[in-house]
Amino acid sequence: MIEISGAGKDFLLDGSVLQAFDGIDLVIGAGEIVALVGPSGCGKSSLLRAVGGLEPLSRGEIRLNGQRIEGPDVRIGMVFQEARLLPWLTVRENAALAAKFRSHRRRESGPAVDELLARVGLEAFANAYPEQISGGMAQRAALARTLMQRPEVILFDEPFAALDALRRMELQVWLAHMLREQGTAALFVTHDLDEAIIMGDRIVVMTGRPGRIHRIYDVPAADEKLRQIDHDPVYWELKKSILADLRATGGLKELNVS
Amino acid sequence: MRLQPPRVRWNKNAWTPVLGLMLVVAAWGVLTSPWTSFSPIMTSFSPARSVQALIDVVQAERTWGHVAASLQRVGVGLGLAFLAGVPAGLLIGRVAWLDRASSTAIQFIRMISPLSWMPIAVMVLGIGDAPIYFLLTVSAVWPILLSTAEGVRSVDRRWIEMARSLGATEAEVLRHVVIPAIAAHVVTGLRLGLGVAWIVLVPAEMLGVRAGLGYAILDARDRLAYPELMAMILLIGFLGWVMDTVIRRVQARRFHAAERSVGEVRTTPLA
Ligand SMILES: Nc1ncnc2c1ncn2[C@@H]1O[C@H](COP(=O)(O)OP(=O)(O)OP(=O)(O)O)[C@@H](O)[C@H]1O
Ligand SMILES: [Mg+2]
Repeated sequence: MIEISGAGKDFLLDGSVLQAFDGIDLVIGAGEIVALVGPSGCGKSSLLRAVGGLEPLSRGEIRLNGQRIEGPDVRIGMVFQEARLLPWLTVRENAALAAKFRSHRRRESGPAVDELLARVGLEAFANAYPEQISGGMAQRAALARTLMQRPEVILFDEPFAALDALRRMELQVWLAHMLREQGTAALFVTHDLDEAIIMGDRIVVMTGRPGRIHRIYDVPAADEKLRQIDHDPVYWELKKSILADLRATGGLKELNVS
Repeated sequence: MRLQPPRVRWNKNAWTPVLGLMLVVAAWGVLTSPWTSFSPIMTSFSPARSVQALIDVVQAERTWGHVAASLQRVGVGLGLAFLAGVPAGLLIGRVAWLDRASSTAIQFIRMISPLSWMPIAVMVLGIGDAPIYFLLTVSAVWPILLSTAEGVRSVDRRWIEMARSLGATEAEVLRHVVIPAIAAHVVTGLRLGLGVAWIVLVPAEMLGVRAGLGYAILDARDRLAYPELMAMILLIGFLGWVMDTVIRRVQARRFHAAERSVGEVRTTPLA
């Protein structure tokens, strides 16, 4: 369980203080998927990096199972917008990277890497190098690498932004299913409202900078929604309401309003 | 997915270096022929006589003793330079204030010809192999150090973040991300270091030792064996070229393995 309380982050930009986000209180329960949407520059990535222990907060604190987060932790996985594969390792070696680290080896053994690669549809490319695969494949390899780590929580920062629409939809459905099946919690930043609805148990809408929580929606019928999203008026209403929020907070320009 | 570039065939382009080499030999012939050279002694260094001497030289056991002595010295010097240069480069590349503190000093010392240290080296270390090791180390350490530091500086910070988020400690980040990422830079540094060390070796061996290629040149001069002297020069050039080519090959094989297998992957059906 992740507990974010009173979290705020300032940056020094050109000699003046820039408040990225402020006063964020949010709890992500075990196995819960929380989607995070908001205008560009409202501090979503910064918040994610703070939860991942990559950057300290300016105010407030973040706890994992009651324990304050001071730095990166194996129990928290991150999937970045870029795949960040190491070019000198094959896809399989990249996916299995976590196994090289002691913090990982101390824990019980995880899924077999080949099984994971098969699940992300990369079994035929296990021996390929990153420069030989497409951006979408690289992102799936990065996903396998994080799943290999078996984190309790995964932080996603627009992981599918670089993928084509078809591949994106396929992965959204697959990932939502996989996370729920494994009981892995997630904080999922996205600009795509359909994606937020497909993935999230709850959707957090943030205001413009400094980013604060504007509203939190519960997404109904998490199990059924995967197929229904284009047909079920419940989701149309939800999407309309989130759009209205974003319009009110001034963040519509940047959003995918399909 | 990137396509494989067309294989370079055995064509005209492959012969261009040979043509260049032939031009050099032709110029050498002109400069040393009895009709066109400006000094009669030059004829002792003509291609024909040098090659003949080379054939004798490579058959003499003594020659290989000199070669072994020189290679051993370069090996030790390069090894010491590697042991000192890589860790120092890692530190300087990773710690910003160390970089700032050392850069002027390094650029200053680097510009001093290693041979300037010769008298001091002999005074401190005595006559023999020790001052030569020292000179070779001092010549080769800078390219290795600077190239390593440059490699560390250019490691993608996002890879380091990724590894940290996977639970890697600082030491594991160094071992599994930074060091493999800079391997190509280190090999480049080694190659440059070898080049400098090989050049410094010959004059360094002209003082106080009785073996090695540098000594062999002076020895040939003292025996007035001028064609043999030229043969030694050819041998030095050839050995240097061989070593450089070997490192370049290793570099290409190790770091472009990915590119070589592109073709294999393309034949697999798309997932
Ligand atoms: N390292 C940094 N130094 C200075 N300012 C920063 C830094 N990182 C982020 N910021 C600033 O903090 C604010 C929030 O940035 P952040 O990347 O978290 O926004 P975001 O919500 O992820 O935006 P987007 O949706 O476009 O990805 C921005 O105004 C940005 O300029
Ligand atoms: Mg962002």
